[in-house]
Amino acid sequence: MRDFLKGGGEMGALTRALDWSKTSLGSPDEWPLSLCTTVATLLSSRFPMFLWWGEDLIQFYNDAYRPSLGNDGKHPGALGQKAKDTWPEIWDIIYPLIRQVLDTGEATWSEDQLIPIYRNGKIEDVYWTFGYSPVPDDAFRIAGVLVVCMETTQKVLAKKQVEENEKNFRNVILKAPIAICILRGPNHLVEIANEHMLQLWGVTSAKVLHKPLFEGLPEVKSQGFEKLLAGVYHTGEGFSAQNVEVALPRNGKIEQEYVDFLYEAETGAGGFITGIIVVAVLVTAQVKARRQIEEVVADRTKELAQANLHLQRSNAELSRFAYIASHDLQEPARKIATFSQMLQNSAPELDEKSRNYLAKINKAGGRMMTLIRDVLSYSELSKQAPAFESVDLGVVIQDVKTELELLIEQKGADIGVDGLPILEAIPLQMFQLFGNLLSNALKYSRQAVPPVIRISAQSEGGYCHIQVSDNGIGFEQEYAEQIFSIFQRLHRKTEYTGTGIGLAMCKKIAENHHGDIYASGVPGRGATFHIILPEKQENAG
Amino acid sequence: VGYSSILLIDDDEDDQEIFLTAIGEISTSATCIAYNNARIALEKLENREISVDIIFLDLNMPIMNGKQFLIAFMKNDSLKKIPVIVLSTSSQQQAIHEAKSLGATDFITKPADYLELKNILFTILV
Repeated sequence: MRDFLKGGGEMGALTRALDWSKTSLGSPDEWPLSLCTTVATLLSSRFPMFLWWGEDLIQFYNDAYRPSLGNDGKHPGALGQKAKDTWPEIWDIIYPLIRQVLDTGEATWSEDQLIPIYRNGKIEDVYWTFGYSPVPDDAFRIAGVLVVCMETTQKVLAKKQVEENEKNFRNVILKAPIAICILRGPNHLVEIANEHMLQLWGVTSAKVLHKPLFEGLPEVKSQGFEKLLAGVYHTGEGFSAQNVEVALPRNGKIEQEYVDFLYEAETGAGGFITGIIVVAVLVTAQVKARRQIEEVVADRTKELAQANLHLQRSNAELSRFAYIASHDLQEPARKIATFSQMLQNSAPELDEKSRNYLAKINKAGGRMMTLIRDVLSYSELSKQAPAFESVDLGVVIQDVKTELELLIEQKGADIGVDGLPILEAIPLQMFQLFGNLLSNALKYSRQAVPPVIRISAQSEGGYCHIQVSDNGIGFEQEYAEQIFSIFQRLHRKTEYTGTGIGLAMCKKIAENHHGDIYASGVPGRGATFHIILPEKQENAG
Repeated sequence: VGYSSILLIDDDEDDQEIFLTAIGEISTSATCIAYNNARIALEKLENREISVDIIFLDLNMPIMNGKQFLIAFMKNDSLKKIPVIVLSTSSQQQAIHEAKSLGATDFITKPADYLELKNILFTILV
């Protein structure tokens, strides 16, 4: 064994072990010196190397080259084998290269070339950067080809991946349903802009693509966007805004449009800002629609305010009219009642029929008076500015009972009062409220059934819930709301006296106190009136 | 006993008639003068052309209303001792309160019932 075959790792051992006498090269002892030197260099190099030698292109390769052959492939059979036998699948690619080197003596250079080879049990796409160099024999004739190579599959695939990503990204931009563009560099070169963006800009791609933005789109110059873009480009801080007014070219004219947009800095490999991604949405239609709505709302609000003012005025006028009318109406009504009575007294010799007529005139006059007085009281409820003070409802009920003493006695009524509070209210109105409710309870009693009236109160979350219940004639539940309307009566006035104003007054009083009143009843069993009043009033004195 | 010289100031002739009839039925001895103009009545009182010991005063009158009469009347030291009873259509608390604060002795809402009027006048006068 000649000394040049020392070392060389696995391939060194295999090279030594191979019976070279069976190849056309013969035993290593007979090899030319240049072959020995080249094989020794190859085996000791850690750079992937491969050598073809002689007419048959007998092969040598080193440990560094070995992984390129993979498992279950050409290794270790390729060692000492003829090139043609090892590389049938790529013979058409490599043989011309080998031939060229052998014939001309000029080396080749290939970078990232795809040379699919059979390895790992299959044909694989393998990329190589490699050079074929001529190796002379001892007589300086070209006798072999040395291949120094590097497998670049990983690098190429990574690069392809990047390119693929880039392509996908561009596709995403181009096909996005909103306007997107990328502005590159400090001059905001339009690198890519999708159709939506071009439409928004109102230009063709030829006019803006690969040009500085404000050169391709001079119409948007000096509208403040230069400063914003420069800010994003220099600081890297994104910017977004909504409903921004911008003048843009539209069919040869400049029109006002509104956009929502977003600037986001794009950073390159070194972490430096290389461009700006712009995303924009045209919102002119929305802005115009909203403005229109706002205008309509403003108009309506104004109209409403005016209508309110009119209403307040006419309410005040109505209330004034009701007051004056009822005040002045009292006088003739009173005179009718009085003079008819005086006539009755001064003419005792009148016959029964005439006396009867006079009595009717007197009664009608009296009733008219009561009616007018009640309307007057009702209209006064709207007129007065509320003056709330602390009112003891227990005292109010006591006063009402004193006022109705005669009626209570006549009817033999039993009135029970339980836990009435002190609350902020208008004293006179409280008196009118409970006066009306109690006189109703006494008035609408069942025949021969002494009235039993219960008044109780509970505190419920800042409100006082007062109940006035009786055992009187009650009413059908369907009338529960109607009874609070002015002049609403459920009975003929010959059955039960009254003007139909009492409960309307009660409702008005409850409203004046920011409270409520409602009723429930069962015909022939009785009625319950519920009064809800706040315990405190906002402007109490 | 009671008052015998009565002054009524009321621009309404019907009301004057009702009032005078009622007084006549209550007392035969009492004399009653009626004026439908408060200013003239005030002048007569100030000039001592008339002398009365009680005055019934309507509020709602032209030229000088009851309120103006009360203000002027109460400024006169020799006159203001005479009791003034306001006799009005109104039953408003505010009107009652105002009349009393101006010095009215009492406030009567003109009743629709003639007998009631007589009762009220009787209690005041007798």
